[in-house]
Amino acid sequence: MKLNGVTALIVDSDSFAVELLTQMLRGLGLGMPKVVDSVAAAKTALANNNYDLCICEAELPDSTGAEFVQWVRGQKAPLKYLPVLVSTGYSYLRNVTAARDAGAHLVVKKPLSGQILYDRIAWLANPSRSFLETETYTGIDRRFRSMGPPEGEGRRDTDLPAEIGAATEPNLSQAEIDAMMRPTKVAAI
Amino acid sequence: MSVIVERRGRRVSTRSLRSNLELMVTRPGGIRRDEAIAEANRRVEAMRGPSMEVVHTLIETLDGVFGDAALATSRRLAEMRRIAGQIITLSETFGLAHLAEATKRLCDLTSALLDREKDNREVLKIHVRAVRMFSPKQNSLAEDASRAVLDELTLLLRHLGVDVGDHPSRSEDTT
Repeated sequence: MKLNGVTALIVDSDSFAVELLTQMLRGLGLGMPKVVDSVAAAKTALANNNYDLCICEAELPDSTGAEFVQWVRGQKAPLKYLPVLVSTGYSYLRNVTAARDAGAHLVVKKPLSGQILYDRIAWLANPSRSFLETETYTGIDRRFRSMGPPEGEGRRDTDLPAEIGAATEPNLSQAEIDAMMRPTKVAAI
Repeated sequence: MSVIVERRGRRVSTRSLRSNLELMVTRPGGIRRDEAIAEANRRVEAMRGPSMEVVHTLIETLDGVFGDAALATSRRLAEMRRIAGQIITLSETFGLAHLAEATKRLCDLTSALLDREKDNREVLKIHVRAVRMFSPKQNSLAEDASRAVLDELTLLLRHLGVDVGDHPSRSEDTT
């Protein structure tokens, strides 16, 4: 993995934590990241430059990481697709759900280490996960595995009940089954 | 490419992206994973000395905030929690397990007091003293004595009905 030349934006108000993070990133091969200490400054930085990666603290002086991610996801492309990793300390673990639901690519608990950082950046660069836009969520597809509903209990609107029940209609004919298996047209742009 | 599907009247757009990050990291060359991680860890380890100073200063600051009678309770507790978070991150980064654990208990306590909109200066004092006891500049407790102190903190919090968080030794993904 070649990280030389990757431009990173760090949003964190804890200057010593930023220094540690910067040293880790430089050790992994990145150049000097741009560092800002507030969401307001991050918005300005993103308006003036393009970044390949953003690492944002969950609690900031003027806002939260979740609100920042939500703002990013509401911007025009390509900014809205910016890979954002939110880091959270022990005292703010309750912010994890908010950051995740706001569309953060990853939420990682501190402390970060070289290994964790390397592997998560590699994961952020992995193209296998789609970017979703719905009425209630804009962000990366956060499902890691396709294993069906947890413990047989579906939580999505489209999940069917686990109980199949008795048949209420005659079996389908082969022609009807074939018709169901035909490719379905979808809108593509 | 973007695919838009509608399910039960809900519109879902699924877009396969090639991010600039992907384009950058998949260029030929670069350094091997183990070499990159070793270099990152070496750089962090080089900061151990200054980090211990920062931890010590943070503990002093924590003590000062606890004793600051001019601060409103909620502001004081929130500030103590913020500083405690910084201490935990640094102490876990540099393997100060006892300090991290004691500070987590203080964090649990401040969070509970903030949630309940209450103050409990006596119990806070015990926790702040415990954190100070495990400061890298002062910690001279034997392992079993340290364990006893930490277990007492946990017992005390449970007695007060405070949720005691888990304390994994390393970071992990939370999504």
